[in-house]
Amino acid sequence: MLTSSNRDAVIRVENVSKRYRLGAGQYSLREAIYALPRLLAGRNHQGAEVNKHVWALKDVTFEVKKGEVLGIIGPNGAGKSTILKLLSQVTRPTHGQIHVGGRISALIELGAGFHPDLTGRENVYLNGAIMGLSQKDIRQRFDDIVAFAELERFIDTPVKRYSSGMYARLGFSIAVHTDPEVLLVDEVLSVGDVAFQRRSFERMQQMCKQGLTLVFVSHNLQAVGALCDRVILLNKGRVSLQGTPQEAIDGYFAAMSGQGETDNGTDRFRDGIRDRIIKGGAKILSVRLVDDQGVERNLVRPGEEVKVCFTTLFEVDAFDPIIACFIRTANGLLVYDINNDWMRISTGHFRGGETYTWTWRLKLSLLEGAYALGGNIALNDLSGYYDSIENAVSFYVQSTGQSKGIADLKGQLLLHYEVGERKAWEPRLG
Amino acid sequence: MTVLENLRELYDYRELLWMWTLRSIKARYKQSLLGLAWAIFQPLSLTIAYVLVFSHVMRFPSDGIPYPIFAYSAVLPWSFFARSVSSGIPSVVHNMNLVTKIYFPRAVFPLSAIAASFVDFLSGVGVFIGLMVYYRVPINPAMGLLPMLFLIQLLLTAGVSLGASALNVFYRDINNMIPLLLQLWMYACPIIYPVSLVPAWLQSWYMLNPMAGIVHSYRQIILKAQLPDWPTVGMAGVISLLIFAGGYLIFRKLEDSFADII
Repeated sequence: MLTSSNRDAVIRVENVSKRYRLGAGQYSLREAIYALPRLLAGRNHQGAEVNKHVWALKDVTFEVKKGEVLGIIGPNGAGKSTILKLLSQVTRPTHGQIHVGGRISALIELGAGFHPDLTGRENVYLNGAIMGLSQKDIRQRFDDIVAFAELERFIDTPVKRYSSGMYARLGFSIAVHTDPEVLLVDEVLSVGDVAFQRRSFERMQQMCKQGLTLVFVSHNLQAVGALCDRVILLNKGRVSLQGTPQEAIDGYFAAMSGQGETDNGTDRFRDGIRDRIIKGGAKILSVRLVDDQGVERNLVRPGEEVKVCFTTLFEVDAFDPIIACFIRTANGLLVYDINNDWMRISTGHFRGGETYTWTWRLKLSLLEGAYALGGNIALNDLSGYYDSIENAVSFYVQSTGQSKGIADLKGQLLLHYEVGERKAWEPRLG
Repeated sequence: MTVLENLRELYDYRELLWMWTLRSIKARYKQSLLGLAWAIFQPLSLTIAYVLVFSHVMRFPSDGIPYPIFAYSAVLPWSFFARSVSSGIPSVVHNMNLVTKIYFPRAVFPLSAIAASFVDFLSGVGVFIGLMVYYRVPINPAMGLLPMLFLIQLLLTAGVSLGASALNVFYRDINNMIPLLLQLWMYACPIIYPVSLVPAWLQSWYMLNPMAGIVHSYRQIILKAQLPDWPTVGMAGVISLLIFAGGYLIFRKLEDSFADII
């Protein structure tokens, strides 16, 4: 059992499991007749049809202290959203207990609680009421809400005409102006424009200094790293790691690259070496990703020039070995691969018992996302490896705010319209 | 959550109940030509049809009361009940996008459906007062009992709406059955005919239907200036209370799993 039932904890989640029923939500008529007594007895989740159920969360335990910022990361289907739904009381755990001490404001889905036909103004009042505010409270904050969302001009427009960014701005603005003690934020902020994202982060940071407890669920590891005190890594409904943002992000990459290897197992070695045996004879001691100043980095800007330093201990003498460096995406796709053999550079003679360090200079023209960096040292005749390391350093490339994908192809838009002559419609004969 | 805590929570969300009611009314009449006039038009046109069919063609008796006001006095409370229930039962399912994303007491949906129908009911009451003036129905002291009767009707309406709206999340057939069931239920109430037409041996069974007792008592009080039959009112009261308790408990039991139905 939980021994550290901390008194400062605003959120306590104890051994929580959540089971969902798979398939259509409704029962067929015959099922219904059997299910009704169980449904009313509250045992509908303990039915005999085990294979029709799925555990979204299994035995999850954690605490969040007052003023703390907890990040929750994990691959799709890991149970992140389920945790938020449980914390916000939208649904109840199948087993275990949840305590939340304090007023919650949840920003789980974009525009949830907005009615498309009503204007922005009407929706502010409606949404505020849904979050438990009185009309008087909302009236007092109304101007602040609208100003923060920058929607002064559109506040009397029906929200069905809003863009997704406008939805996100209004939703976030209402949520933070309800003076919550606990704020739950899902992926929603990724919709807004970059300027609004920055402002909302600043706002959240400022509120955290004033004692707000924040639970932040995101795929955006950069934001998680920047905002969170502590991060939980979820995988398949279980907490696989709790720690500092860096620890959790590394764990995330490890989990992801594990998946990548099984997905792309055959693709990994198309570099000419048939025999995959690592013969030994050298050991890569460290791989470091550093910037111009020599500072180690995990977060880089698109297009940033970095150095990758391999430090290797040679146990035997090696003549002109082939050294390589490569980058993969989080799901294993090869982004870049380079070695001295292709570059027609010879590496020379390495003496056994000595440690050598060499550096690759790379310009990371990559787009936002998680990448893993690796390298290897192969025998000169490509008959095997001295050593190989798949996922030595994981790093995250920040967003350019302009494009998505892997490669930063520096797209430009040239608006020189060529207005052609409009062809008259010719009736078809026959 | 105890019952008391649950009721306090509902009370805390009274502004949401109010706003949600306004929203339903606005949404209902926003794009209709006649707007709120529909609320009057619907029971009134029903009454006119009943007058034509049952009074002039079928020549139903009406205990010596002019048939139009005889019928309207029952159509009015019945329409309130029927509208509340038929808009309340699908209300949770219609708002699943909210139910699965935000927490607030889910009872807001069926309860605000009742409140929105109450607005229609009030405008119908205006028409009824006009009819009373026209047919020179005097005010009488027994009318002091009307709020009690109305409370019984509210309990019944809330019970049916709560219970059925929760079950409808799991068994959507319920929503399809409503029009038929309401039609049958209406024939089981003294709306187009007087209770005196019901055979004596059937009367005690007949009054097990709380709506029958309620409608009958409205008529007795308003149109005949009589005190209601206390056994009839008592029976309607007890059964309505039981239905309310049952509906409330079903709703409480099921509302936690609403969001799990995807």
